[in-house]
Formats: sequence, structure tokens, C-alpha cells
Amino acid sequence: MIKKIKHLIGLDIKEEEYAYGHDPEYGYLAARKIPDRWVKSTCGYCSVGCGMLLGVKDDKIISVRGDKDHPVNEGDLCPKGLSEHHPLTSPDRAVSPLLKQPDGSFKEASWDEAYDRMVDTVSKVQKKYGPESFGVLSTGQLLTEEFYTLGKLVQLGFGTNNYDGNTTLCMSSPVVGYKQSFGSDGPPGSYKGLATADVIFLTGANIADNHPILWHHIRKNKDFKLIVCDPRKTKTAMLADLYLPLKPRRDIDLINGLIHLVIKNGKVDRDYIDKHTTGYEELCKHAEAFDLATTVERTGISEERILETYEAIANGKNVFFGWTMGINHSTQGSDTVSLINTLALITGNIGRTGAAPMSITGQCNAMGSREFSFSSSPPGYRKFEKAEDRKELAELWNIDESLMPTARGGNYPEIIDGILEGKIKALWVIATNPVVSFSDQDRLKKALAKLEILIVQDGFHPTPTTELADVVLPAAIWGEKDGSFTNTERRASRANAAVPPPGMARSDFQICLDLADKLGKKDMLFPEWTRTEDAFEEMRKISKGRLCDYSGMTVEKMTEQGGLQWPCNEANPDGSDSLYTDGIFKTEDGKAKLLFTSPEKLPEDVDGSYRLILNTGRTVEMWHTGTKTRNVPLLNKLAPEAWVEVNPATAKYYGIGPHDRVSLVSRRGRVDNLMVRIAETIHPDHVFMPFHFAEKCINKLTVPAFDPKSGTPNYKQCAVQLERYRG
Amino acid sequence: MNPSSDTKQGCCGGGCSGSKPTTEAPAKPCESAPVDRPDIVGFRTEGRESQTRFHFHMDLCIGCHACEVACGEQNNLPAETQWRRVGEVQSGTFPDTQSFFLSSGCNHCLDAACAKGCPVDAYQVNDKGIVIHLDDVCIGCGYCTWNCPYGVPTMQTDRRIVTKCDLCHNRLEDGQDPACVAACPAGAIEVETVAIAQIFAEHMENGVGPDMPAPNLTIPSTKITLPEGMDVAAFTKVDQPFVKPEHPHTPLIVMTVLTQLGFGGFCTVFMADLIRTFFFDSAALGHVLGWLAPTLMGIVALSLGASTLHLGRPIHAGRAMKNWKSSWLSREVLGLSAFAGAAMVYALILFVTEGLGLLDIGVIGGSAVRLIIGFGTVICGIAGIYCSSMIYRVPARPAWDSRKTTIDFFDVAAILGPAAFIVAAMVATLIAGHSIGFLTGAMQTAALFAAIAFVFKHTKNAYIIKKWHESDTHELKASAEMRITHFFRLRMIRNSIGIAGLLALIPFMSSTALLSAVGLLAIALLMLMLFLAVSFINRYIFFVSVVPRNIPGNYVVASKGEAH
Repeated sequence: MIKKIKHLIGLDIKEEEYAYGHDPEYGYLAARKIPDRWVKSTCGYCSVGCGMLLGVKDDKIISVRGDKDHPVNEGDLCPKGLSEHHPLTSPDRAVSPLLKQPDGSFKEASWDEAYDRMVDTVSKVQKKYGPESFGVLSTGQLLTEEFYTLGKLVQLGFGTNNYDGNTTLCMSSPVVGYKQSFGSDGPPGSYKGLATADVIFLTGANIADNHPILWHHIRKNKDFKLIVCDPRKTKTAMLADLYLPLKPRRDIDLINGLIHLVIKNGKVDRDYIDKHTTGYEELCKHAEAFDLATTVERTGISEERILETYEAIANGKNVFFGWTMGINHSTQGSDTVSLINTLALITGNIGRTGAAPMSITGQCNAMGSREFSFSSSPPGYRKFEKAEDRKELAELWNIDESLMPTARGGNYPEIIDGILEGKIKALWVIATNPVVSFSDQDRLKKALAKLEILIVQDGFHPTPTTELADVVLPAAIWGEKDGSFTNTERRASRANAAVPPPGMARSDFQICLDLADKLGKKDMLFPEWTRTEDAFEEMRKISKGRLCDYSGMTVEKMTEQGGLQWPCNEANPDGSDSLYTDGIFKTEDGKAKLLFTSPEKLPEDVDGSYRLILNTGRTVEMWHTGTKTRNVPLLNKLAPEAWVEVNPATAKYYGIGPHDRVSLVSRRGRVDNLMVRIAETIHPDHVFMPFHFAEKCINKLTVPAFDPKSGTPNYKQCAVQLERYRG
Repeated sequence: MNPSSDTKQGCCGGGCSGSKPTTEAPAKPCESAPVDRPDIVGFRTEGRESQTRFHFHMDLCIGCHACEVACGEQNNLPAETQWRRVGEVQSGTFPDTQSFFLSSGCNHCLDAACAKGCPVDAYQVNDKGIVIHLDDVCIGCGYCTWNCPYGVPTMQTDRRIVTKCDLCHNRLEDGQDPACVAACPAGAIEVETVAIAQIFAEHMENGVGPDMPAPNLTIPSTKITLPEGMDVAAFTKVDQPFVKPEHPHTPLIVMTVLTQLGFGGFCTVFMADLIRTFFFDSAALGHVLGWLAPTLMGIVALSLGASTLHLGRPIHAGRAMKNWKSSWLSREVLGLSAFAGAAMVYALILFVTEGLGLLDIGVIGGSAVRLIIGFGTVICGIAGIYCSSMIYRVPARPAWDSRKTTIDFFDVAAILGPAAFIVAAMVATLIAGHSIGFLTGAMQTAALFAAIAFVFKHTKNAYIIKKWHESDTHELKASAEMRITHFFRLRMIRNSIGIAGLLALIPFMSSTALLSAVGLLAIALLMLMLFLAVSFINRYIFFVSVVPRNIPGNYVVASKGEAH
């Protein structure tokens, strides 16, 4: 009371709270931000994989700094990284296992109760409907060691292969695309290439919003041309030397058109094609149809701009092809990736620093999941269907070979289909939030309602997904557990625990071990394991000789060098900057395949009722479904809600002014009360909306169409109508 | 593309010679005036030839907002307090749209309006030219937040004081970069030390940046390197369509209106006192003044007391007179205090001699002394109200920055003073049983005066709003627009109340009393209430519909603020 009065009359201006002090490392700094110690780690947001120092005081991370010695970011961080400690202490953290009661409320429970409920119900379901009736949806957010442990638990412990990650919602198209072209997954280039390439060709990649720290490398480049191809004039497009305003999905036409020009004008690297690729003849025949006039007409890009792009790629010494979701989020994503690979191959742009077709990954550890998760492929880029791979793994693991799955189970959308079809009855969701992030929410919710049990393991509660759960398992998050993350350039970096998890929360690793124990399979799967380092040692052993070779890595070396790029082995003890430097690929004949594809129709195009194409994407302040970033007050202030970007001409047509609120309506649902941003950054026939916001969820609108090869949803285009919102 | 090259300099770097000499199109003469104020050198730059400043590379910024977060972390700021903000400007049509970001902390101006206006001298300029805010000196009046054309000082509500960017001068002392500079992944923010003459030369030639306030307002030290070939005049800030009402500052609405009532009242009292003394002595009029003056005094005292509620730190209100040399706020406090002091003596004399009839006027020096004190009261009042109006006449707030503000303040006095007199006259008539007839002349004069002042004020304002609406100055136009659209209903209500007030004046203008004394008193009271209500509504609109100058802002943040 006295304190309050003192404050009101102005005797107390909180001088202590806002005092400054001297940090030995970072100098003059707000006293409350000066930690007792700094813990080295790696960022847990995107796939750039920035090195960090976490400032710890009284078991709380109070400050985050970029690690000046880390080769990825050399001290730089984006706004999310700089504030990554805030969500750890959020009141929205899940701190106790929760069991859904018959009345729909949650009751706190012990870990044992929660495990028993989960294991008993899942066992019953599996006994009744078969082992595949248990589905698992994981994430790109766990540590690689956790992916490895989870994969063994799910495939060998629970014995189901209906197991996939939310990485399918973004990265599975490049996985398939790389496998098709090169015989293996694995982004072949590195960030160093951004600083040395003379042409950087970004298509469907808005790195200024989504991977800002890549700019750290681009700005080191003293002489280069930046070409950005995107239907929307993004922040990144604004930075480009040449912007290609593409019609939605017409990237396939553009790449085909560029291939046509390169071949027609003899600008191919004939020597490389002959030595290291197959399928050139067929490619030439295919490319004939994509002449300049056709390309101009189909892409909507001017002849001048296409020719300038062609000149740059044809004459560039080192061309860096980068892409993200603009390519991946498509029913033709996998083949588009292969098509870009083809353009890189025929121009000889692979196997050198700066010359690479690079899929810029999304999540902090989508790559770790690709390497070791045992979902889309067995650990170490092995193949389910290859008997020798199964045999080798069974031997390495000292298990009965018959336990090894012989085929991949359902991917993410197939698991949802499986639930709708009644084939999958129990679902375990780990560190992902489908009730915001999966397309066609209405359909998804119908599926989740059919389950006999939904187990959600997450660092946060409530989320739209945990609210639907029967069992909530509280998990430790970034900053609270030890292990490694692999970034876009194949660099495995250490992410370390700086503080203990809140309340009863446990690491995903520990939860996997506990569950294996409950299943009575711990000794078989994880003998003597207590720490993630135990998993790491096994990962090193089983990846030896594989493309993603960890055998040369040690925790000490990774810490010291700021991560190591695989393959890291005896031949490359300090890791590898580029893949395929020798031109030998992982295909049967060692040659890359020159694959091509032709454009198909959009899964849903505009018509008289739904006249606009909805384009989706991100904003720099937010991460995914916002469970973390919306718990950072400043980021939440800077991006407080979803908006719709509308061209002024479109706004005028619909009679919408800058103060107005609008609704977006598709065949599947509607989102109301949206802030409108009228700007010349978008084509009059398109609207754009960011996807981070649960309460204004874009996936009520998106179309449930998927790449048949990779399962990646076609998030980037669907038909919508714009209405003025009259609340 | 060569983003990190130092040779890449846009218009501000002198790359193009004078084709775009200013930030604004020539159509906006008030904005484009080049800096030509040698008087300023020496004001805050005394003994200093160089200036440490931010140098922002608009051509390098990728709009990632890391600087904003880094600043918040460095200074442990709550999210609502941002010392650094990133805004955006755009031009062109799709697909040839251009967009650039502006990251801005404090501009550490050579002629810092925050420092000049601060009533307590809480701003200090150090030997590097960095404008530093002294938190413990600040009384939280927020006047600097009105004065800065860049919206830099912010009222940090959890501390009840203003805080702002200090260029991390303590880090500079340690040889370290400011937090924003250190955090920028694009290397777009630098700190540099340059000759003051150079800053003037740059501004004279080029202005500051796209859609920014003209540099002659405060001589900002910040340099912005623009992208090569940028057509500055073509760019507009992305948050421009969003205009949201400002804070109403309720204690200030009460304070300004009531001090103006008090001042107007004392002017009326003094006039009546003169007439009474020199032309015809009337016990009734004396009685009226003897009660009216102390009542007015009470109102003035109350309103001045209430005004301290506006401060974040009312306990330190006494500090507010300190910077009378350059702050209109200090001068207002001085002026109104003097007015209140004189008024108190004047009111006391009138109350004791006329109101209570206790002492003969001769005992305290006769009429001359009383009238001199009365005259002093009026003079101090004029000074106080004038200073009060000058507080609002700041270039950072165009809708306030005109003679209109001063005229309005005196106008309110001219309406409310006579209105209060009429009420007092009616009360005196009723209580003391004076005949109405005796006061009719005085009331007629007062009523006529109030009516004329009222009609004058509202006709003039309607005309000015119309002119603003046609103005090239965005802030004036937006302010007019807000009054016309957002406050349309409120203005209509106000007009109705005003007309009712005018009608209520009619009985007092007529020479024959048609109504009973009680009825007339009721009408008089109603009339005063109506005019007070109009004045409060007007002052509310005055506070909330001002559109401050500012740097380009963040579209989403601005739009979110537009909650209605």
C-alpha cells in the first residue's frame, strides 16, 4: 500500500528495476539482464542454426546473445533469437501431466498415471485394431538425439510405422526431390556459398522475414546479383537486383523456360552433363516446348526480366539456387525441387562453394529429423525397402531383424486420412500444433474427434491442440535440454540445457526412455541410456560411412568449432562444406538424374464465386503457430494479429478502405475480423495472409491437397473471396 | 548488388546534386524550409564542434526488427516502451513497388525541442552532443513527448516518467557499440562522430529522409544514407492512413478550462469593479463581486491543484518552474501562480469588504489599492493564459501550433467569465434581495459579450478546420478529417449544447424581467453549465484530435492501435 502510494505520487520510479551494471563480457547493461554465467547453445527457432549464449541467473535465462565465435551467425541474431528466453517462463508452459476427465476438464496427474493411461489405451487399441492403428505425429523441433530415440521407440517399441513429423508440412518435398535427383537427401551447399556466389537466385524464399541471419552471409558478398522470384513483392524481393513477379505455381514454367534458354543457347556444361548425369537427351526434348514466348505468357514475367535471369544464370561462375516454401508447399513440390536440381546440374552449379541447389530448411531441426528420425526413412539415410539396410541396422542395434519395418507407413496427411477412415484410433502428437498448422481445420478436427485417445506432448498448455487432448505430457523445451540441432547447411551444433524445465516437465528424451521402460523394451532399445550423449554415440556408430556421417563428431569438437557439417569422418575430420564435390552421387550408377516435370493445374483455381488466390506465409516476428513468440511481449506487440495484404485496385473493387476489417471465405471455412493492409506489394488477383495466428487461423481456408510423393500440403494457393467484415 | 560498399550513397550522401534538395515536395513550403538557423549553433552546442550521432543506412536495412528487440533487452524495457522503432516507407505500383525501412532511436538534435521545453531541465547534452534524459529529475509531465517531432521520448507508464534512447552513451564510454548497432545483422546502424558544420550542410542540401519532419524543427543529428537513386518525394510512410485519437489528458482539460473560467471571471470582476468605483456605486454589484471573486479563486486553486494529477510525479510539481528561461510550461506555472496569488489577495479584499461587509474599504488602503491589485490580477492572468496557450504551440503538433490556440484560450475566458458573472448576479439578487433591475445593465452587457465571443469562436474554428482539410500538411489534414468523421457526433452534440446555451442567454439580454428571480437563476445556472460543457467538449476534441508529426511507423502496430 505504502509502496503503491509512493509510486503514485512519484517518490518511487523503480530505479532498482531499471538500474544498470557492468557485465564482464557485454559491458554496460541493464542490471537485471546481467547473468551469473553464459551457456553456449544453438537457437531453437529456424533452420539457420545460429550459435547463442544463454545468460543464466537463479535458474532462469534472462538474456540471450549471438555467439561471436559461431560460424553461422558470428554474433548476429534475429529478433526471435534475441528474445528466445521469454517463452520459457511464460504462464502458458505445461508444467504437469494432465488427464482429460469425463466432464471435459483436465486433472493434474503424476507421470506414472499419465504414462499408464497412455500405454494401456494405446496397447488396447493396437491389440484390437493392429499395431498400425497407433499414429505418431512429431516435429522438427526436437533434438536430433530425441528424434533418434523417438524413432526407435515408435518403430521398434510400439511397432507402428504410421509415424511422421510436421516436417512433412514443409520439408518433405526437398527430401523427395533430392532423393529423386541425387539418390539421397541432403542439401549440397553451405552458407559460405552465399558470400561467394556471383548469382543468388531465390525462388519462393522470403529470407528477410524467415531466415534473416542468412543476410549476414549475403552482406559479406562484395559482388553478386540477387534475383528473387515470388508472386508477392516480399521484403526479400525489395532487396533484389532483379525481381520476377511470378504467377502462382508458374515456377515450373519459369525453370523449364530457363532450361530451354540454356540448352538452346549452348550455355550448358556439356562436360559435367556427360560425366555426371543421365537423361540429358530426354530433358532436351522436354524443354523444347518451353520457348521464351510461352514462358513469358505462362509466368506473367516480362521477356526482359526472364532474359536477364537467363543471362545471369548462364554466365554466372557460381550460382546459388535457394528456395523454401514457395516451392515446397505445392502438389508438385518434389518434382519442382528436382527441376531446380536439373537446372543446377546442366549449368554445372553443384559441388562447389557458392554453386548449389539449396533447399533452405524451415525448423531448427527438420534436418535432424531427416537424418535420424526413422519416419520417412531409417536412420542414416537408409531405405526401408532395402534388405541390406535393415539387416545392417538390426545388427548395429543388436535386435531381431524381423522387428524392422519393411516399408514406410503413412505420412502426415495419410495419418489424418487414416483416422478419418477409421484405421488409426490412437494418436500421439509431439511438439506440434496441428489445430493451427494443418490444412482444412474443419476436416482435421473431425478426424481428431474420432480418436479413442489423443496424447499431446508439448512445452505449452493450453494450445488449440492440447485442449483437445486426452493426455497432456508436459515437455521441456529449448534451453532446458542437451543435444544437437542440424541446420540447413548440414551443420550439427550443440543445443545445451541452461536451466531445468518448469514444474514436472521432462525432456522428450526422458519421456521416450520412460515409455520404453513402461513397454518393457528399454533394455532392448536403449540399454543403459541415461543422457542424450548415449544416443549421440550410437548415432555416430550407425551413421558411419553414410552420407550423413557423424562418426568424426564429438561433443567437444562441435562445441569448439560451432558445429560440424556432415559428412564428418576420418576423411573430413572438420566436416564438409559441400556435397558431391567429386561429382559422384548416391544413385545406383553414381550419376545424377536430369529430371523434369510439366506444370499441372492448381488444386483449386479462382472462379466466379472465389475470385482471389490466397497466398500464405510468415512474418519475421513470429514463429509457426506462435506458442513461443506470442509469449514474447515485444514480438507480440510488433505483430499482434493476422492481416490480409490486398492490392489497392482490389481494395477499391471491393470498396475496402485502410481502416476496414475484412473476412476471407473459402469453400472450407471463413476467417473474420481481419486487419487489412492495402499495399502495392501484392498482385491484384492475390491476397496474402500470415499463418501464425490461432484465433485467425488461415488453415480454416486452405485446401487439403498434397504432393502425392512427399505429402506436403499445397498451402500456397487456394481460392478465396474477400468480404467486408461487419462485426 | 553491392550492399556493404561504402561508396553506395544516395541523395543524402550528396550523390545527386540538388535535384531533390529537400525531403518534401515543393508543394509543402512549411516542410521544405532549409535549415538556416545559425543562431542554434551555440545554443546547445556551446564549446563543442563535433557531434556523435546515429548513421542509419536505409539501403542496407532488411527490416528484421532485431534492433528494436536488442534495445528492449539492453535497457530492460517493457514492450510498450520502445526507444527504437522500425518504420516503413513505400512507393510505386506492383510489381515495381519499392519499400524501405527506417530504424530510428533518438536523433540527438542540435536544437532539441525536448530539452528546450522540459520544465525541470531533465535533459542534459553531454560533451559528445548526446541528449540524455535524467530520470530522477523528470516529473513525468510528458511535455517532451509533445515537443519531439519524431515521437522519441515515451511516457513509461510503469515508472510514471518519460524515458528515451541515450545512444547507449555509457557503452560508448566503454568502447562498445550501442545495443542496436551491435545487434543489426545487416550492419545498417552505425555510430559516428562528425563536425557540427557537416550536419548543417547535409540538412541544408538534403533534409533528413522520406516522409520525415523537416530538419529545421530541431536539427536532428542522425544521418540517413538513402538507397541509390531513391526518389525521396515519392515515398510515403505506410502507417499514414491510420490516425488514432491521442490521449485526452483529462486533468489538463479540467485545468485549462477552469483557469480560463477563473481568468475570465476575474476580468469581469475587475471591469465591474472599475465601473462600480468610477461611475456608479452599487451595493448590489459590490455584493456580487464580494462573493464571485472568492468563488472564482476557489475554482482556480482547485484547477491548479488538479493539474498536478497530470504529472507522473505530482510530489515534485514544485520543480516545474525551474526552466522558465526556455520552457513555456515553466512560464505557465509561473504565470498562473502569479495570477492565483494576485487573485487571492484581490478576492480576499473583495470578500472581506464587500462580501461580508466587515471592514471599511478605507482601512485597507482605499479603492486605489484594490484596483491596482485587481489590475495586477488581470495582467498576471493574461500572462498565465498566454503561456498556457504557448505550451501547445509546438511545431511537432501542427494542429496546436497556431495563433488559433491562444485566441481560443482567451475566447473561452471571454465566454465563461461573463457567464459566471451572470450566475453570481442572480445568486446575489436572490439571496441578498437586491432588485433585479439594478443589475440588469451589467448582466445585459455580460450576456452580449459572452454571446459574441461564443459565435466568434465557433465561426472562426469552422473556417480553420475547413482550411486544414485542404492543407498539404498531412497532420493538419488528418486532424481535420478526424474532427469531421470520427468526432462528428460529438461535434453535433456540442453544437446543440452551444445553441441551447445561446438561447439561455436571451433572458439576460432583455431589459424586462419576464421570469421570476428563481427561474432566472435556474436559467443562468443552466447557461453556465451548457457553456462549460461546450468548453470541456471542445478542449477534449482539442487534445485528442491533434495529429503529431512522427517518423514512418509500423503498419500492423499502427493499425492494431486503431481499435474502433
